[in-house]
Amino acid sequence: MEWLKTLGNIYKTDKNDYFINTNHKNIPHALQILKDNNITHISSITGIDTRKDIEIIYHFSEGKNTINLKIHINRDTPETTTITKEFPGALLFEKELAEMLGIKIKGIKNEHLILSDKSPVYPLRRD
Amino acid sequence: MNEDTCYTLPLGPQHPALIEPEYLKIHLDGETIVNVDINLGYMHRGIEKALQQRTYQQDQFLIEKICGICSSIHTLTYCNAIEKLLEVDIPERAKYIRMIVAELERLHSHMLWVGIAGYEIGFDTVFHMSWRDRELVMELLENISGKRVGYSMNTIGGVRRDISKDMAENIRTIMDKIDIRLNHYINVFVKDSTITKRTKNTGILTQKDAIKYSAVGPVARASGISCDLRKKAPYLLYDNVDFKEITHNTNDVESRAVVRLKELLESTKIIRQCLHLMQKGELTIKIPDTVPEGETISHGEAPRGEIFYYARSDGTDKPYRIKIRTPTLSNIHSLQAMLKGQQLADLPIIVASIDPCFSCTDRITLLNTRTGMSKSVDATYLKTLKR
Repeated sequence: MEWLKTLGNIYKTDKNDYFINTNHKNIPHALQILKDNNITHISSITGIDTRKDIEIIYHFSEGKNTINLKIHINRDTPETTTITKEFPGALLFEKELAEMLGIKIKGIKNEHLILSDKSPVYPLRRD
Repeated sequence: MNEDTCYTLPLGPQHPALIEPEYLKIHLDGETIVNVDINLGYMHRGIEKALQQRTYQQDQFLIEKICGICSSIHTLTYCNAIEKLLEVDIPERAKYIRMIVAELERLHSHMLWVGIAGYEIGFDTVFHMSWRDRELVMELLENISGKRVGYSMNTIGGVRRDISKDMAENIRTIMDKIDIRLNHYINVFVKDSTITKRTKNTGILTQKDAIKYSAVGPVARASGISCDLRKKAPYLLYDNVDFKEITHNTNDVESRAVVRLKELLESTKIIRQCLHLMQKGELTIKIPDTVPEGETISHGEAPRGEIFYYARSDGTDKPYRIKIRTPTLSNIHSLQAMLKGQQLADLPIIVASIDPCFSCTDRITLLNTRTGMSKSVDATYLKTLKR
């Protein structure tokens, strides 16, 4: 798992769970490295409102390990780019993320998946 | 595509008899499915938000209500996550009891699915027979936990109830009976022409597409992908028991049925071994009300596939964030690949083959996208399509 160090600052929360802090501009590069190392399965995407910013964690699986890419984005104008080009299975996770925290995700249709189309609130924001 | 024969068929979202309604917009050319749009959220209850407002102890009971069928694996994965944050190791006997209940849950969930699959292809005999046999497992779960669903067996730090010697003997007897019935159903699903004509080469999900859409559980294993977390990333004491991971590579509905049924034979094997291996001992350890600051991942193999939990604590008695991803959210995306080019009449069994808690049939409008004319149809009409 030495190659993980090329993705960003790495730390472990358990013997098989790797977390990597990176920035959102580095995501396309990081995804390419994951693909090059035969990581094909995305388990989920978590969004967290930390009150200072919004944290997005992309959870990937590799054998018995989980690889979790963590980025921080601006809380006032939260915006990121879709990863569905590299991981098409992430589409529903991204839609859920966008609706729950009000994040604009460039590259996917702005249609609600879970909440009502007219819903004015982002339920997981800590306002 | 001929414009005269093009329709959009809205399927769902509500049905009073079933849980988890979902909405599929089916684009048709005549009877052939061209594309599918998926819309979810009709049963979204805001549980992740509610979890943040309750204590870790209270959350166990809320998490159990996420799914009526796989309530045990939800609490198991949640408790595993919190125990990781607390850095505690639960007693060995508790681990075996958790495994036994999880495997019994897999048994009743897949046997329920076998019945639904039979029903969806108009073979109600299979439905009645498998649900009769499923009752044996339901009675066992009631015997162990006091309840048929929502067993409340898992708690942070261990399990709430023990399995006595009498119960263990009863479980062994029932497992022998279940094995005989499972072998019968495998035979039926592989050899009975009434079933194979509807399931072979139907709802194909190639290995490439299963990887592309990040499919999980029996759906992925039926496309030849090895993804059983009990083998790949063993939790509890799954590495102490001997069982095989079942995969099949015909990629169709039959393949999904075979994987589910064969993995139940492995489940009964696991249960017997757990009963043999577990020693007398404590059921729980004392845990504090507050959880130290930190974050963790916990995932397990639910009957429908990988269930995923992310937990973050800020050092209080309430979680800062719990993220839950259930297997259906991963698998429902692959429906698009399974349904394209299939006949409308095969839609119910293909949708059922991913084993969602899904409602369909009787509130459907046929809309001619060219003329704007619409026609409502009912369950009877769909049943004529099914048979």
